[in-house]
Amino acid sequence: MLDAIQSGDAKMEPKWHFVLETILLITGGVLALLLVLYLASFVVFVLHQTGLWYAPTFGVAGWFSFLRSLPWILIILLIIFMVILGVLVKRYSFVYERPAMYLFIGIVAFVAVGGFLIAATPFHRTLFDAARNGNLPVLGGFYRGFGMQHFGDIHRGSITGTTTNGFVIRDDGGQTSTVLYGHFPFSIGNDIIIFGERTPSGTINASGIQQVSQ
Amino acid sequence: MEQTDENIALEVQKGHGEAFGALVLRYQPKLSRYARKFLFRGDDIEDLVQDVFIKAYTKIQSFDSKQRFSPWIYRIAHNVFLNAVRDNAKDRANFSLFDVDVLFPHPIAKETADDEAKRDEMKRMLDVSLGSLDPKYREPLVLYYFEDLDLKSISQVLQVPISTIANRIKKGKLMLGKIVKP
Repeated sequence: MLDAIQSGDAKMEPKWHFVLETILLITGGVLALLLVLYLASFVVFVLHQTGLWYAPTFGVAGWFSFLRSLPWILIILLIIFMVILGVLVKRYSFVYERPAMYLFIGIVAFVAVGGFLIAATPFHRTLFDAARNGNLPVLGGFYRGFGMQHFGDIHRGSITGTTTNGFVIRDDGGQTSTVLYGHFPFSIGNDIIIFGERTPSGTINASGIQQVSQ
Repeated sequence: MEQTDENIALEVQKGHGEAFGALVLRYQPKLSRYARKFLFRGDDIEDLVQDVFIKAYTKIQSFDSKQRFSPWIYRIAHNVFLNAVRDNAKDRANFSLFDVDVLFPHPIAKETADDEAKRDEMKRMLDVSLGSLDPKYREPLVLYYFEDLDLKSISQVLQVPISTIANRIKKGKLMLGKIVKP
């Protein structure tokens, strides 16, 4: 062994190599953390924006619709980055000395709390509004694609007028739809979520309506 | 006064490569014993231990001299031995990449003086029947009883939760008891 050291066959790796490795790992960890928070809060924002968040309030059918329409691509991406984050922090003793379940619970709790907190700020709303007005260069399509999507049975909009057997709503994109509903316990201007199929003529047969805050 | 492992490692980090010889002298018998008892094969043990020292020397700058040296070098040894296991198809069958027991917390029993008194007896039992144990239980038992590492140090070597290590040692002892007294 000592011969190998003296002859130069065994060479010490320089300290900067390990410092760089640590810096890269920390940078990777921070980036994974930011991405995870961004994706989690974006998912919450999209669910609110599209009205899907309220689908479970319409019972079993609402739950089916909720699960069917979740942005699964974003959720899978979120899980992938959470796993990457877990792998990056697993090398630290304060993590591996404790049961892996704690790491899992810790990351999920952090992502959930962080995601909801960021979603409650105007961050995504500002970007979404800019995207809708065509003022968001790179992420514009991403925000419009997820934030302005329409589902078969969940519709969000603002009441603009009444008809003999229902009312009219206008969605965030400016599109108006006639809603068939037996009674009208709302006011013009209310923001509502409607559960019901859209007919080929474009009319929505509402089976449930939920008023939401603006 | 005898220099600590950590001070010697610091000397090596400062460029005094010859100081590494003292660490080799101190750890060669320990790592050879660890390899023999963990891997249960004799032919390439010295080559593997040599490989551990070369890796330790190469990566000595990554050692934090404020930490203890022994878990650091045992960690390198663990990785080298594990790679040797993975290269061997027969041994590989006994190892799994992931164990469910790292997921959940396990109660840790307090170490008592009575446990200490039973150490020699346990070492004798281990010497006789260590080969019959699953490597997952064998390795923490070897590190605990032969290498005198505490639970926290073994956790650092294997990068497995402390409570899982305690649980594997406890289960390993129970299995050993059944093997010795059928």
